[in-house]
Amino acid sequence: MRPNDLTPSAVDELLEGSARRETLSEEYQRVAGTLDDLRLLQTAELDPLAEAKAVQAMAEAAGEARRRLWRTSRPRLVPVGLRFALALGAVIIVGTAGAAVAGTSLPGTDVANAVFQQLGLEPEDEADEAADEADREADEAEREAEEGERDIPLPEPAAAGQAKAAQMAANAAAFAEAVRVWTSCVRDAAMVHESLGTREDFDPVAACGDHPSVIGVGNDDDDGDDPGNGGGRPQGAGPPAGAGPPADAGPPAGAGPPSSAGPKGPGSGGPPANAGPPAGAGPPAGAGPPG
Amino acid sequence: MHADERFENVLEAAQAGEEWALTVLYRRNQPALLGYLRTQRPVDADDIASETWIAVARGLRRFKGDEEALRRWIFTIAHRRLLDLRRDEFRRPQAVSEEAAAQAGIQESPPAEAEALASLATRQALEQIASLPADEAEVVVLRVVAGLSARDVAAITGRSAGNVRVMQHRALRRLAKKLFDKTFVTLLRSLAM
Repeated sequence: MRPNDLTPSAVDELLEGSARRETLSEEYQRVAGTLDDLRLLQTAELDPLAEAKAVQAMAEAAGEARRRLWRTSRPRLVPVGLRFALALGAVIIVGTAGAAVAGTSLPGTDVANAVFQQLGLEPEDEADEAADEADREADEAEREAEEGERDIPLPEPAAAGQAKAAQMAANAAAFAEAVRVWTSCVRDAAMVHESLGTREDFDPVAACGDHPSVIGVGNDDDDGDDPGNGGGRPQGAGPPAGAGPPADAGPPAGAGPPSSAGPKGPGSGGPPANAGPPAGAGPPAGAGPPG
Repeated sequence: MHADERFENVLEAAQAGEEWALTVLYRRNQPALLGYLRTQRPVDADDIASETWIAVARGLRRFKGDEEALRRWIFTIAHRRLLDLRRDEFRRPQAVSEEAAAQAGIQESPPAEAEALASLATRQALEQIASLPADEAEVVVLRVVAGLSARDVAAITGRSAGNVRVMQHRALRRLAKKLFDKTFVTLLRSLAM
């Protein structure tokens, strides 16, 4: 093979050391010899001292890499473990406190007691007995109290309060019914008015009369000392929220006049359903006649 | 030395930091690595080899593959280290000129350990290879000394496999011509004497 005949496969054979010398020209036989000498580097002897130093340095580098890996991963591991421990501690504390307040045992206590009993330990016998005794005493006291309640007459102020509450409930029911009827009337009248196509404005008062709150339906307490009582108030002068009677004495939710169906007053519509006037109370803020 | 020196076991132990396994890997690859570096940077070949091994040790835990892949990885690290050094030298030219270096006794010659490493024939072969252009010499050494394929050499040096084949072809032709010229000159000298 002449220098110009060097094929790619011949190059590979030379470089890999698999070329047959007899097929090579003199030049490439020398090249093959040079490459063989170069290949001896693969099996060259190493200096033991240099080898020991290098291996020592490698071991230290590998150890440092492991420590660095631990340092970089630790910040992620520690908070996870800390969070878990804190959550577990919180669950134990809350569970124990809750069980102490409720006077019951923790969910796993029965299982633990069963295990202890199987082992013959029974660690909570005394505590159980004390708890049972306390329960019995509490039941007995409660039973005595119930029996006593039947015989004891209500004191005078309590009886008066009960009577007033019953009256207020009746007033609330009457007011709610009146509002329902008036609202239904206005709705029908408005529908008719709209279908007629008249140019006049629709007047709910003319069609169905005054609003029950104006009339005073459900209001038999006319001493005028209750907030919101007695024939309406000037616009915007209604009681502040929460200043009326207790919520349970008011009309049921949704019984208040809808704002769109309210009488045409100078106000801005009726109150929301749950903010409506209490039983026997005056008109909602803005629903009364102008002040 | 450990009894079971199958590569999988050696690699696993080396990844755990076992010195015997690191020694095995070092012995199997260091001669070729050093030979490669000596053709590229005769003066600081040992230092670059040490840095390469430290880098290998640091990244060994993440390595996955067979022995060929490990050798490829080692030479890739060494090649990149060489590139870094050349880049640094390009950015920071030596203040000391070659003449001043010669006066100071600094010479571009391999250290004594490296000298002892190679036999006379090997040294002559290294000199012949070192006389080639640097990129061609690198391709030849990676193929012959490291025993890598043209595709592996291409991956390490960042060239295409076709480019590597062209370079190795040119290198062998150039080497053949040099050897022929050297023989011819030697023959002429012997005739003249």
